Amino acid sequence: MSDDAALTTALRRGTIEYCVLALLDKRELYGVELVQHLSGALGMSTSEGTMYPLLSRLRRNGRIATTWREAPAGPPRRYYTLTSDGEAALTHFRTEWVAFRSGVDRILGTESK
Amino acid sequence: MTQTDQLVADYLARVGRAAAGLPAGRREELLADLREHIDIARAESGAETEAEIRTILDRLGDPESIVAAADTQTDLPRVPAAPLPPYQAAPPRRFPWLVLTIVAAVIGTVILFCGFVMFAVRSDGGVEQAPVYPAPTSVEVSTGP
Repeated sequence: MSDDAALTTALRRGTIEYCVLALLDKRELYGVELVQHLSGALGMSTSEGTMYPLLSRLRRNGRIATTWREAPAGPPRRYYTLTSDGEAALTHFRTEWVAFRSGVDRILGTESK
Repeated sequence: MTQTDQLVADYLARVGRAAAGLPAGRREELLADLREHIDIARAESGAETEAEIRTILDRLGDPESIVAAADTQTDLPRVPAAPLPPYQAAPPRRFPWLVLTIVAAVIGTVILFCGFVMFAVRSDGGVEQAPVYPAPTSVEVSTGP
């Protein structure tokens, strides 16, 4: 793994699961939609598959849940939804993130002017 | 099995092999998630050519990276994979010899100094107590008639 890739991976590690929760806070999404949204926004268009283990853990931890729905065409879709635990975790993370981000920005000199 | 189905089956088999170290339940779940993704992506895009299937698989990423991601998604707090770096031993202590040398030097200096002071005091006292003047008698004797 190149240094750049390692850096990106490290930066995503603690944050990406909250991006999942935030996307599902807007509306429920099925797997393909969800990973395509995420990978598009975070520049991971060649590693969509790496998000399934993350979704699996969030499901095991009760932060998201899934429900099958028939689709107008093609196979039924499994929709991911946010649970109340997931909502609470997202709210908590938003507070932590703002504080963390401001601290890092102050040190790096990258505050938005 | 068509050629495109074969591509998908080969891809999933590679994931399965890479995931041999995962608990069986997690491995099956991962394979089911990926199979579902591929099925739906195919159905939505109408992808049926080999190139289109390859695009879907390329976007999923290589099996080893997916399994590596699964490895990090443990429920327990992550423990460092590698043992902690060995404790950086302090450089060998030179303290006993260094300190002994300094102490010896200080004691030596103090002893020399005390000796010098005592010697000086005694010398001064000697000078004060013994102003040796030539005995007047002897002068008188020598200059006498």
